[in-house]
Parts: sequence; C-alpha cells; structure tokens
Amino acid sequence: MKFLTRVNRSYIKYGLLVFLIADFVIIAMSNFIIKEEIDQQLYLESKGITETVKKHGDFRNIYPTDMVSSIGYLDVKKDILKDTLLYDVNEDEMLPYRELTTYKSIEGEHYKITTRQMLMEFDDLFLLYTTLISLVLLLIFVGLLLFTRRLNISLWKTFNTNIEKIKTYSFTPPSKLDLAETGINEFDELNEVLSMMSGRLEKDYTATKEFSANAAHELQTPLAIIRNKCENLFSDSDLNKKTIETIREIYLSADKLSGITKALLILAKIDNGQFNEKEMVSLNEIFKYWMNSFQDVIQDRKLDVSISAVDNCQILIDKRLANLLIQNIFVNSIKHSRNGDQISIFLAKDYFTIANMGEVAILQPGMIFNRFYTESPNIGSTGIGLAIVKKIADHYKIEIEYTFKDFKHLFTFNLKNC
Amino acid sequence: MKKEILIIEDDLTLQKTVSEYLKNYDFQSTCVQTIAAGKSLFEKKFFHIVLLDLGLPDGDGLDCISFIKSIWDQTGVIIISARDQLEDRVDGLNLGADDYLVKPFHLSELNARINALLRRNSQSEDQILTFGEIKIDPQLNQVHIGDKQVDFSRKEFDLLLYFIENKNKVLTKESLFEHVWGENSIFMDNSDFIYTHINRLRKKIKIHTGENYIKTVHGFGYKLDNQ
Repeated sequence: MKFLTRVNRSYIKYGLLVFLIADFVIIAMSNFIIKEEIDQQLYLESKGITETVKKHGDFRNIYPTDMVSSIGYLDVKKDILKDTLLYDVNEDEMLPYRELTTYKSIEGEHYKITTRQMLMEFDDLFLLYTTLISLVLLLIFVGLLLFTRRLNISLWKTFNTNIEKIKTYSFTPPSKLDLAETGINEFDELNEVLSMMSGRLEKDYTATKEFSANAAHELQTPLAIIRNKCENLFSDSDLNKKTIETIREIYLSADKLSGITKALLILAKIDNGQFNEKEMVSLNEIFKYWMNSFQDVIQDRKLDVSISAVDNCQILIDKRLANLLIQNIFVNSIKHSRNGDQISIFLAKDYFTIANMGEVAILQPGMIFNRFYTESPNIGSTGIGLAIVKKIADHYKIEIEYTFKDFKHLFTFNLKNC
Repeated sequence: MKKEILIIEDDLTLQKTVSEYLKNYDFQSTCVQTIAAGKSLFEKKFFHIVLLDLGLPDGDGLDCISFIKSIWDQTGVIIISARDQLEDRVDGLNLGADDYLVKPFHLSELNARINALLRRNSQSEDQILTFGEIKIDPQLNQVHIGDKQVDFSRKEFDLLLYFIENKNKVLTKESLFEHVWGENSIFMDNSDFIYTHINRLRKKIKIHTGENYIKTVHGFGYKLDNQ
C-alpha cells in the first residue's frame, strides 16, 4: 500500500469516528439547549396567561398551546414539565410537544394552566445535524486530501528519484550510489545508511573481484614457466621413458590447471555481472561459426553434424557469453561422441536443442551442471564446460532440460523467459 | 645482424626462460621488470620487438603501447598476459599492439609469432625460409621443394612453417594444435587428430624428397630434423 493511501485510510477511519462522536454530542447538546429555551418560554407564557386571567378574570383557550381550566383546591400540585405526544388532525400523526402545567390561585380561584410548544421531531433534528456535520467534515477531508497530495508530490519527489537511482545502481564502476538530499531527516538518515551500506558492499565486491582475478592471473605466470621448462626438457634426447612420461604428465597437468583457473575466472566474472553488454544475437549464426571452427575435428572424427532451423533463434545477450555458451555445449557434444556419431542441432524461434548419441543415460543428470562433475574418465575433461553453460543460462533465465531417449543425450534450451 | 628484443616482464624466472630460449634463435634479449625501466631503455635504442606483460609493478602495460609506437613505429609489440582474451585482447590490439599471447604460452608459438611480426614489419629482406631442399615463402604462401612448386593446403602450410621456424625442437601435440587451430587443446585428449594431419604432411614431403623429416618423439610430440 502506498504511504499516501495508508494515511488517507487512517484519515477516513479517524474521520468517521470523529463524525460519530460529534454527531452524537452535537445532537444531544442542541436537544438540551432547545429544551431549556422552550421551557423558559413556556414559563413566560404561563406567566402571561396568569396576568391575563388576573386582568380579565377569564382566558380564551388556544388548543393545544395555551389552555386554562378551573380546578378544585385538592388538585393543586407542583409544576410539571414533560414531553408529550398529541394527535394532529391536519398531519394525521402524533406530534411531539413540550408541556408545562402550573397551578395558580388567582382571586381565590384555583386554575390549572397548561402551555405547550411543538418540538422538532427527533428524526428531523438528526437529519439536519448529521447532514450539516457530514458536509463540514467532508469539506475538511477533501481539502486535506488535496493538500496532502500536493505536499506529497513535493515531499516524495527527491525520495522517488533516489529510489530510481538505487534501482539502477550496480557495483560495477563507474556506478556510484550518490543520493540527493531530501531535506527530511528520516529520509536523509535512510540515505546515509544506504550509502554506507553500498560503500561497504562495493569494497567487498571489489575485493572479491580482485581476488578472483588475481588468483586466476597470477597463477598463469608460474604455469607458463612450468610449461616452457617442460618444453625445453622435451628437446633433451637422453631421458629415459619413465622421466618422459613424468614430464608429460606435469606438462598436461599445468595445462589443465591453467584451463581450470581461466574457467573459474569466467564463472566469477559472469557472477559479478562483468559481461553486461547486450545486443540481439542470432544463435544460428553462432552455431554456424563454431561448426566452421570445429570443421577439422568433426571431419577427423567422422562426425555427422547437422544444423537445422525452422526460424532465426534470436536472443538479447552479451555476444561473448553467447559464444561461450554455444562453444561449450558444442564441445561437450563432440567430446562425448564416438567417431562416426551423429550430432544434431535444431533451432526454433524461442528454443534450441543439441543431441549427441550415447550408450547409456547419464547416471546423475542432476549433477552434470555442477562444477568439476564429470562422468568421463579421460584426462581432458575438467567438468567446468557445462558449469559455464549453466551459469550463462541462469544469468539470462534460459531453462535447460536434459533427457536421454533412443540412445540420444538431448539438451533443450528454452529461451521463453529471457 | 641480431634482432633486438625487449622483454618487459616482472617475473624473473619467466624472463630468463624466454630470453634463453630466444637466444637459440639468434635474438638478443634485454630484460626489464618495470614500465619505467622499459621506457628509459627505449629512448636510447631501437628494438625490433617488445614483449610486454600487462600486470606490472608500476602500472598497466597497456599504457605504454602508445609511448612505444610514438618513438619507434617500426617496433612490433606483442602483449604477453594472463588476462583472458575476452576483454583485454581487444583493448591491447585497439591500443596499437601487434599481437597478443595468453599465458601460459608455448615458446615455439612465441617464436612463430615473433617471426611473423618481423616479416610483416620488414619490407626489403628476403623472407624465404629454407630447410634442406624445402623453401617456404610465407609472403606468397608458396613452397618449393628442389626447384618444383608444391601445393599445400592452408593447414598443412601452417604446420610446415611452424615446424621449419622451430626446427630441431620438439613440438608438442598441444602446441601444434593451438598454433594451427587457435583453440586450446580441448579435443586433444581422446583423438589422433594431430596425428592424422602430421601424417598427411609427412607423406607429401616424403613423396617429393624421399626423406621423412618429421620425426615422432615418443610421448612428447614431433620434431623436424634432418639428421
């Protein structure tokens, strides 16, 4: 719920309460005051009637408001003030009256003087006051609403621009979280906390990034040395077979290590969002490119690779990552094919599949995208290729499905959500 | 005349390995560890080739490419760096570097790249390389055996040139693969891929010379040798 909506809702709740109380109090009070007034008037009239009777010895009754009747002494009581209902012929209904009955002795005669005043019916009174109060409160509320809305726009303006800034903020330089002053203490305090937090995070992020980059880079120099020293040894002619094998293993391990660190660095870079250029890339083109580039290997292994497409499979992606994705999934298929096998690639508008032949299903299909998981025992498999594929796919919300059917490993890449 | 090479690399062991290797090929190497030292040497003397590491103690090697080119535009700059090619390769080449080698590299590959660059930068000199009766002209992509021109496919030509540039040195399967196919050796593990191509080249040379110059060095790779 928006802040303003929330405030307005509580205004309405509170307003209704105030309205009810005010309505009740005002009606009760006005009722009381009106009755007081009427009672005073009734006394005055009764006094007037007494005067008239004194002067003239008689009084013409006016029904139902002013009436005098002679009574016996026994009937003399105290003054009685009460509400009463009288039938009205014209209106054909009972109407409320306030009635004062006084007993007076004039010139030895006893009289009962009754004066009445018509009262406003309660429902009329209620309606009148409620309407009045509602109107006033409504005016106040509408005014308040308009006022807060205008105030709101100016108050929240900086806040909203800051929100937009935070939304587009990323750790990659040159982005720096620079929030505008709002002039409101609470907001400014929030800004300060956010700026501090982002500063800390940026530091951590840079440190992590530097660490992974350094770890990957600094390893390459010693690896280059190992590799080159081995190569120099290869030209020695007086080595025995065992030594040769040992050197070869050192050489290949150095290669593998170099590959692993580079792959890990790539994974880290994808995680850090360092590949964030985007363009429309046709995967058909990229598949063709890699097919071309692997042509010699494909021919040498007598593989039958077919690319069929019913549509141009396009995706908004960093081209480098698109290349990495296709290269790795393609290499994976080639590697796990025997000589003379078929590899079929199929592209549609929003998905593509790649299938290579196999004897048995992968034992643990849930594991194949994990780093360093490999079910092939050969030395060249690091198990990182598919991890890179998975990482890139996740980065762009591409769904990967693996199935094994009719002796085919089939990978389906669904691009609907990216 | 010996070709002068300046190596700007902060790792002493790598410096030594590279310069010793290049000595075998008649290159005269000078080694420095920092950009500053490299720059001061550079103002005094012409180097044909600069091998430049990027992560140096006093800055980024990328920053001194334009400096080098501004003093001697004839100097070839080869970046040798661990930074992965996804970004820095493009940067380096945009800044005027002539080539880019990613660590860990093969020394034989470095040698081939240096030769290619020298060929590109020198206009006049005779560039034909010979090995026995084989003459190879990298400019015209021609091979003469004896006095007959022999046709080689692109890949075969690349392999032969690589062998001749690194004659009498053992070339590993991995370095051959990387040199010709430009990929790392992802397919090397379970295929006789290189063997097929080497065999084809062998046969062709044997037909025309009667000799088998490309020797198999068991467990390592191959060697071009006329002993």
